[in-house]
Amino acid sequence: MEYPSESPELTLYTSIRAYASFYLAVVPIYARMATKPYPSADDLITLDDTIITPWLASIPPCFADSAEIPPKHRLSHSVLQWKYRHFKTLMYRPFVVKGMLQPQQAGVPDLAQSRLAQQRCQHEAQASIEAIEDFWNNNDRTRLGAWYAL
Amino acid sequence: MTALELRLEKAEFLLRQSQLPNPPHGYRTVAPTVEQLGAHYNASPDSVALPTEVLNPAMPQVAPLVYSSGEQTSVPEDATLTRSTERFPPEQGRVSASLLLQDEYTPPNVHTSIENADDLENPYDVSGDFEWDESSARSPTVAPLERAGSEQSDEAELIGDGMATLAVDESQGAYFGVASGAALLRAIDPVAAQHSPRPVRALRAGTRVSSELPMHLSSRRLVTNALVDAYFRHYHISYPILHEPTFRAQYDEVVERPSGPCWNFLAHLVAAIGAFTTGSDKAADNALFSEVKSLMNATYLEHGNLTLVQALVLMSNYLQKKNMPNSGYNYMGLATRMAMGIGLHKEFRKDNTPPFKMEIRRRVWWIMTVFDIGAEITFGRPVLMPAGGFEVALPMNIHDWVSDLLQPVVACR
Repeated sequence: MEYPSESPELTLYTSIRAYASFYLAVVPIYARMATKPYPSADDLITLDDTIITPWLASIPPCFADSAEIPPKHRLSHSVLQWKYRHFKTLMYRPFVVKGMLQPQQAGVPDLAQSRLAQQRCQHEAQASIEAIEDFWNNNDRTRLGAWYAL
Repeated sequence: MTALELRLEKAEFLLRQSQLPNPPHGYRTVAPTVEQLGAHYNASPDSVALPTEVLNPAMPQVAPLVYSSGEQTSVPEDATLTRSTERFPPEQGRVSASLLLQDEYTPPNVHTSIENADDLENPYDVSGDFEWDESSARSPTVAPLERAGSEQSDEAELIGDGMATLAVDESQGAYFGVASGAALLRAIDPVAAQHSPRPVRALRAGTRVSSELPMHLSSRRLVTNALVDAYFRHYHISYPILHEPTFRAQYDEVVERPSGPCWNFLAHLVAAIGAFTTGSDKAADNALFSEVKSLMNATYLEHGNLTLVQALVLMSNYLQKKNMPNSGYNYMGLATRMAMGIGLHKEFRKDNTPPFKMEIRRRVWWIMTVFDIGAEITFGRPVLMPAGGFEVALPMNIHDWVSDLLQPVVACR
């Protein structure tokens, strides 16, 4: 028996492929985050731009953030967006905390990158909240959906 | 005689049994040094082709397999080889290991076995899916498994060392990769390996071993159609770790239920997760939760099969959703070890493994991995995914209902 041709359409397995590719991409970033010392803002921004951005662009059109998704696949589709936005929020979160506790003065090295990290963190957090709200308001409310969304 | 001397003596015995004629100039003529190879073929020493296993890089280089526009419209005939080529473009002067072996001394009975490094990697026969059963090894209460080739099996038992080193029969079917002693013995003595028994069959329903394992409740009694439907409607749509037509056929007893009590455990988990997803009947949800936990038995860990991997993964995720994240984390550890024990991390050629089986194995591996890494990041714990040594492809993006892969429901054990 031969392998069939892959479909360009959304299938039952599109989400797993996307989740798996996401984790394969970000595991090296996570390893840096989980090992002391914590990466610099500059390092994380570079990793974000060189790993996560290309990964996001590689998602097939049928499963992109803006794609029209059939109701039964909307949870798995939303979970992907929540996953990557949450991960980026985590990446940059220490810089927000640090910025709140120790307001940085002009002239401090890496200040611009730290501020960019804070902006990215806040942007991803806000986008994640909005995505969850959108999902919750526009789909059937299941217990599984609630487990992920709430 | 020390244990080490005993082991060496057994190894010598095995080698003598392996029909391997004495090479005229010793083994170095078969496996020359890297420097010798480089000089002979005018290639730099580090350009000599190595087995895929050795070449496989760390995870970041796996990622490009996925999603680029128009990429991978079909799985190549030898996915492993193709992906290795993608990661390691052919280099000038690169030398084929098989060519080198042919040019040097090649014992007639060995040549066909090791002419390709893949032959060390790919076992002689994967019809058993690497499922294994060691439950009879220690327990005197479990009757010895019925073995067809009694002479071979007796011998294999005698030389068992607990290190997968001297096990010609591959410790009853489990996956042992290219670095294992079993792989070497498989290559030099394929006849003995092929004649080895497959006691894992004994795990099928109705055998003596399965009757020794607990079957607390009839799946018919607890696993209702409604709960199974709920599982597939709400959970499976996000995490298709089961092949729905196959599971339903097993559930309806149209086809044989695999792996004895392990399938019963899996079926209860399907029902329990189905009850969780509906959330409509808390009493049934909690009763099934207790039931599932009581079904888990340490004896299961003396087996390795796909059904049990699926069940352990579902158990892990179910426990997390039932607010027992640390318990779920432990179960995932069992699942990942068992998955690698049956070789789910490896890609096999379609002449060894039918596409249907290979695709199911891919799905289980990657859904397990997604759960595993997701939980590890969530808990802020190290990611324990292998840094190398795996190359199983992502699940194909196909519709089961239009795919030929749907057909062999009866072939799925």
